[in-house]
Order: sequence, then structure tokens, then C-alpha cells
Amino acid sequence: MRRPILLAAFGGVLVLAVGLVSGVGLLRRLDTRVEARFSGRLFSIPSTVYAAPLVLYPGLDVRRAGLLERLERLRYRPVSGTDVHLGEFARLPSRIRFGRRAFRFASRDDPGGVIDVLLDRSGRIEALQDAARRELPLTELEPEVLGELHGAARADRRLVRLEDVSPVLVDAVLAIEDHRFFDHPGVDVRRVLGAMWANLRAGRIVQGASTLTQQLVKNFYLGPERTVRRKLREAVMACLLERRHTKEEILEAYLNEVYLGQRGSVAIHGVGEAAFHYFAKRIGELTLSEGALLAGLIKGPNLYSPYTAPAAARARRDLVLGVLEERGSISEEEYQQALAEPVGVEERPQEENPAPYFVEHLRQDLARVYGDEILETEGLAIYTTFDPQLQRLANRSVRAGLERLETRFPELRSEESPLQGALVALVPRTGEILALVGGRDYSTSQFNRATQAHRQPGSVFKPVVALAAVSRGPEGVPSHTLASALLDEPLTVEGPGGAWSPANYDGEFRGSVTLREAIEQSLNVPVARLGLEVGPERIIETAREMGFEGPLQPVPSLALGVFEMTLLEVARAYAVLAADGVRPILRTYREVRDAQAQVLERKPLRFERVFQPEETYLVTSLLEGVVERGTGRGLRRLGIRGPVAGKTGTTSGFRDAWFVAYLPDLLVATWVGFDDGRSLSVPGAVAALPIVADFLLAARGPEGWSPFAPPPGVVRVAADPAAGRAEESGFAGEPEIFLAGTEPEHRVVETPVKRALSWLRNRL
Amino acid sequence: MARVPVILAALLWVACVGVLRPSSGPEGLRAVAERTPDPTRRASIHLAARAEDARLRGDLEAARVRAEQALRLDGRNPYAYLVLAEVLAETGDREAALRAVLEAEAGFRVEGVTARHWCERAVRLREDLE
Repeated sequence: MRRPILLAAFGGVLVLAVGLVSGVGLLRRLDTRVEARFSGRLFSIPSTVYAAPLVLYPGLDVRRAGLLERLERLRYRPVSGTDVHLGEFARLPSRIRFGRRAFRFASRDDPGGVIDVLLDRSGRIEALQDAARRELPLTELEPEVLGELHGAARADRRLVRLEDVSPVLVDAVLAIEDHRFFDHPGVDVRRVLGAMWANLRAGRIVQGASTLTQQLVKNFYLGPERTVRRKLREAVMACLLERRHTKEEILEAYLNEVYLGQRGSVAIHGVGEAAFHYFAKRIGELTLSEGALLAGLIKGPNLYSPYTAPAAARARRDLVLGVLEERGSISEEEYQQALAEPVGVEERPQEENPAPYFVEHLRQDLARVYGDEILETEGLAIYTTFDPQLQRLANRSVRAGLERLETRFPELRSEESPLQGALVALVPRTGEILALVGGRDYSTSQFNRATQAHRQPGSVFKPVVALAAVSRGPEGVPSHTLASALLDEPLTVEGPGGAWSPANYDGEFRGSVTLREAIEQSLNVPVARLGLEVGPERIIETAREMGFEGPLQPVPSLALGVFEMTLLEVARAYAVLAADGVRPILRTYREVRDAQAQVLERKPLRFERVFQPEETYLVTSLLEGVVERGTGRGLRRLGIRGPVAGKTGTTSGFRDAWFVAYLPDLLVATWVGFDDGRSLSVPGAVAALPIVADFLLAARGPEGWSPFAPPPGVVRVAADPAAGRAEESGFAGEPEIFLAGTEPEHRVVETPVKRALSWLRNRL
Repeated sequence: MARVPVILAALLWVACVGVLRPSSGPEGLRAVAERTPDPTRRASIHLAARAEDARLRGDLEAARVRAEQALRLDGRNPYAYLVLAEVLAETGDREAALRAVLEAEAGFRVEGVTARHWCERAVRLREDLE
């Protein structure tokens, strides 16, 4: 009799021991799992891409700079009246007043404050004043967010510290979600029993009893499955978490983790992001009513969304306020006041990323340095050179330009492979990219035609030949002047690939033209001759100095732009012309900081002088002539009146249309064509030029910028009609500019009076 | 009474020295900015003055960023090139400093006599770097 009892007892002890051992093992495993995440980096935060801050200064045209649009995009709240707080703006008679938020720039914290932007009648800034009415020479607006580098989990989150969260929001969350949070050990046994009783009575699950800690454990470590096993694990892990961490740490993690809605395809996590999403406020700025609304959202962010279900959102907010009042967290008066407030959420922000091609280009650049995982999870801040206002104008100009073309030439319309366009705008001297459009619609094609499409540049390459001809080169003497005569007669060059005979766009030959006429009228035959005279090697050398890196062969057709290059390369080369011979290293970003604002990488301004200002000025003068008299006249017809240099480009069979234009401080390059190389049937002046005109008009207006100033070392001379030698050198008598020392021997230095007479003669 | 001409002469001398040797620090830059008619150039010189402020307090990184910001606004501003060159020289990047100071010098030569004092500063820096 005793033996079976003993055996049973032994068995029981054994089972208990095994159970204990495995239970301890399980506990250990769970504890390790809890700690592995909680003591490490808690959240994956996408990197944020910032545009450049806007500098405001007297004289700036606020309409063209898009000040009001920028304030709206930065989610400054419009208010009426003169009482403006941080994060608000008011449009007052002849002034804009805004409460500039604090931000960090150039390693300094800018504290923010109220700024008055006084405007003159033309909409330019007359003066800037701070709150004490002191005049400011300039001020800055914080940089806009261009986009975020998300991974597969598309979630936005702004981390907050518990001490920065307004107590009213903490009270509201605790009151509605877990009012015994500071008293339980991770699991609220009283609440569990109560919920079990309610569920038993109802015969189904009608009440939950999860504490904040359990909710956090579920979101961090477990899934949404509703099984007893999962619930038990959740409870155990919650207790383990509470054993090792303070209530404050857990609460802070919860407030940063909680899901609070959706912005398009991106999830809103944490109260910091939600405060900005719903109210355009920082977390410490929320009112009682707003805090109650956010706390109410936790139960069902989509069910109680103030955007899609405002009545349900309001009822839920009122419920939270009621609980707060019942528990004595707020007074009766505060309760009544908050109840009376409307559910004042901000207009739903648009998800539109104005620069998807740019952001992707940047991501690829940065991924080579940091790797995708770091970019997508470690909350880096990337400060770019981008101007979001110019980007929007660029998007609009490309879209409208392509639509106009399709309306005018319906045969260009195509469903399978639509007409495409690309645009790059940059600061020539610093090489900072301001705007970049890589195609017509990023959602249908992510191929970046500004940086990835290698196309023949055609006539857009001719200024490289001109610069090779008129710059001093290794010999120290230019081979040509702008007045040099070039034969425009049939030309055939025998080469290893057979005979090559270039033709002009109109099939005509003009006998003899000057270098200026050849470039202004974009004549292939004389430019091909010029290329042969200068020599392909010298052209390649010049192209390399201008920054072309792709393959270039020393063949006769080189001068007519047969070697493929990207739009960005073309823009970079023209930047050398616009920047008086300085070649900048192109920059898309300036600085990368980690989540703690420590600098990880800096990309300083880098440039190199590759030509002298007087050399590039000669080519700029040619390209001004292109706009005044040549193939770029369309810019004038379309309303651009200020000084501008430009060059059209069309490749054989009309497969590519190009136009590049620059002012002394802004360069814009455009390409239009089909991805599959179909013919456009129209030249660059028709297809690409209007896009640039549109962009310049919107960005700078028809005129009002400084002219290209002739540098020292350039002389302007007119021919002496009595002297034949000038004629012989191809200098037909029109005033022309030369590098000092290369002007014709028999000449008359042009005086202002003579210049005026010559101007009159030309027009009469 | 005999002292009056002496005092007047002294005042004249001080004024002349003031004109010929204007302040070369940030205040000097601000004074140049206020005399500059073009609003963009003026704002750019003010940014160069902020760069100089930062350089003088030893925050070379802020100084560099501000000077670059000035050049973004006006890529031909010789004052910004000069401050940038000084910052680069102080950080030991002599090659980049030399490139910047050459641009400054060229720009001051175009500006003429009004920038003579600044041009001299650029020349001194260039000679140090060469």
C-alpha cells in the first residue's frame, strides 16, 4: 500500500521539480527577451530629410519666396489679430507677423520669437522687426521636412521625454487607460477579476483589463493574437518589465510607442508625433481638451478619428474629460470649459513629398555610407541644400510643360511610355542642388531621368567647344576669338567608321559665319569645323575640366554632342560658365546628425577654379546672344526680360530636347524626351525651353536680377571701317568682346557714345 | 585758444584713420553691409558678419556654415570668401583656404578702392598660405 503512495509522491515531486525548472527557464528566457529590447534602442525612427532654412531679409520678394506657403507647410497656425504666439502667424495690413519656433542651425540654438515682416507695396520685405521692435538685418525660418527614409514599417514618431509631456495629457491617458498604473506590479489583478466576471456574465469578451505595461509588452514583444497562452506570457513579461524598470521609464516608453492614427500609408506612433499631426503643436503645448482627445484616441485611432468620425471623437474626448473630473484631476470649471471647446484639429496635412526623386537619390547616396538599416531606424537628421519652394515650382513647370506639349502635338501622347521630362536647378557658385525633378510621376516610374538617364546632349555640348576655342589652354593663347570666321560649307570627314558629313538644322549653308553666329544660331557645320580646328583632345580636356566624367572619344562628331551624359552632368558643366570659371563639387546635403544631434558627417563647400572669369565670360556672352538673337529667343517671347544666358539642344531624330539657362546666381537645366528613344519631332526650343521659362518666371519674375558683369581682362571693340585687317580676321564690324590682347590689331576702342550710335544703327 | 587748431587737427586725424582703417571685424562687415545698395549682397554680407562672430568666439563649424550660407545667397561675395578662407586656414585646410582667399582677392579687386582694406587682409592671408 505504501509503495504506490511513495511512487505517487515521488512522481508529484518530480513533476513539480521539472515544472519549476522549466518555469524558471521560461522566466529567464522571457526576462532576457524583455531586457534585450528595453535596455537597448527602443524605437526604430526613420531618418528625416530637411530642406535648407529660408533666409528672410529686406528686399526679398515674399511672394516669390513663398513665405506664407512655407509657414503653412511648417504648420504654423493662422490667427486673426495681432496677438501671435510661437507656431502662429497673422496676415496684417502690409505685414506678416509670425511666432517663429525655436530651432537649431549652424550648431546654435535659435530661441525663436515673434517676427514682424513689414512689406512694401510690391510685396518685398521693407524691414524685419523682433518683438521689441528692433530692426533685424535678416532672420531665418526653420527648415521644412522634405521626407522621411522609412523602412518596411512605415511609422512616424517624435520621441518625447516624460518631463516634456504636459501633466494633463499624462493624467488623461492614465485616467482612461490604466488609473491604478502607479499601484500595480504590471498586472492589475482587481481589474482582471472584474473583467473576467463581466465577460462571464456576458458570455463573450466585453471588457479588457490590460495595463499600460501589458499594452506596451504586447506592442513591443508579442502580436495582436488573442489566446490564453499569449495573455499569460504578456502578464508575466509585464511583471518582469516592472521589476527591472521604473514606472516613469515604462510610461515614457508607452507614450512614445502608442499607435494614434494614420497619415496616408504612414502610421502615427507616440504622443509627440500625434500632437504635431492633429494639432500642429509640440507635446508640451497641448490644452486640456486636446490632451483628452489624444488620450481618447488610444482605444481606436481610426474609430475615433477627428477627421473621419468627428462626433465619435468628440464623445470620446468628453468621456475622458468626465473621468478626469470624476477623479478630481480637473476642476468642474476646467471640465466645463474644455467641454465647450470644439474638436479643433488642424487641417489634415497632405502626405505629398514634393521631391521624391531627390529624396530617393539622397537615400541611395547615404545608404552607401550608412547602410539602409541605420537610415531607416536610427532617426538621423539629414540637412540638405534643397529649396522646397523652387522644387514645387519645378514640379509644376515640368508637369505643365509636358501637358502643353501633348495638347499641341497630340501624337506625343502615349499610355505605355509617356513623354518624360526632368529638371535640375542649382546655385552655380556653390554647387548646391536647389530642385530636382526626375520624371513626370514618381508613383508610376521611379527611374530618375536627371541622374540616371544617359542621353546625347546634342547642341547643348557646343559651349564646351566654344570654351575650348576661346580659353587660353595649355599654350596660354586661345585658338579663336568670338569674331573668328568659320566656314559654313559642306564638310565631309573620313574616319575609321566611314565618312561623316554634318548638316545644319535647316539644311542650308551660309558660306562664312563668325564663331558667335555659329553658336547663337546653333549651326552644326561651322561648329564641327571649329571642333576640328581646336582639336578633339582639347575639347575633351575642356569637358573634363567642366566636370564631365563619362566616356568621350576624340572623334570629329564629339563637337556636336554625340556622347551620352546625364542632365545633372550637363548642369554641372554649365555651372562652371555661370560661376565665372569655378567648378563646384555638387552638394545635395550639408550635414548628417544622429538622433542625439551629434554630427556624423559634414559636406563642406568645395570648389576649384578651372577657367579664368574672362574666358567663361566670353561664352556667357555667346549664350546671352543665344537668348537675344538665336535659338533661345523663345525665352524673351515667353516674358523673361532680365539678363540670361541659355542654350538649346536637340539630338538627331529629335530624340532629346534640352534647354539650359542661367542667371549669375541660378542655373536651371531641362530635358524632355521618351524613355524608349522615340522621336519628339520638335526641337529643344519648343519642347524644353518653355519649361525653363515657366520656372524662371515663377521663381524670379521677368527681370530684376543683376546682369553678368564683364570681369577685368575683357575688352569690347568695334572695327575700324577704314582698316581691312579686321575684315580679314572675320571681324565684320559689329562690336565684339575679346580677351585683352587678342582683339584685332586695327580697331577702334568703343566709347559709350559710339556704342549708343551702334545700338541705334542696329535698330534703325 | 591756441589749443583749438591742435584739437581740430587731432579730430581730423582720428576721422581720417577711421575712414582709412575701418574696423575689420564683424562690426566692420556690418558697416559694409549697411552701405551696400543691393539687398541680396547686403544680406549676404550680414551673414558673413555672423560667420565672423562665430569665428571670433572659436565656433569654427558655425562660422563655416554661416559663410557658406552667405555664398549661397550671393556666390560672388568676397567678404564671405574671406571669412571662409580664414576659417579653413584655422582648421588647417590650407588648400581650400587658398582657393577661397583667391576668390576673395579677385572679388575685392573688382569692388575697387572701397574694399582696399579688406583686399589687403586677403592678400596677407594668401601670402601666409602660399
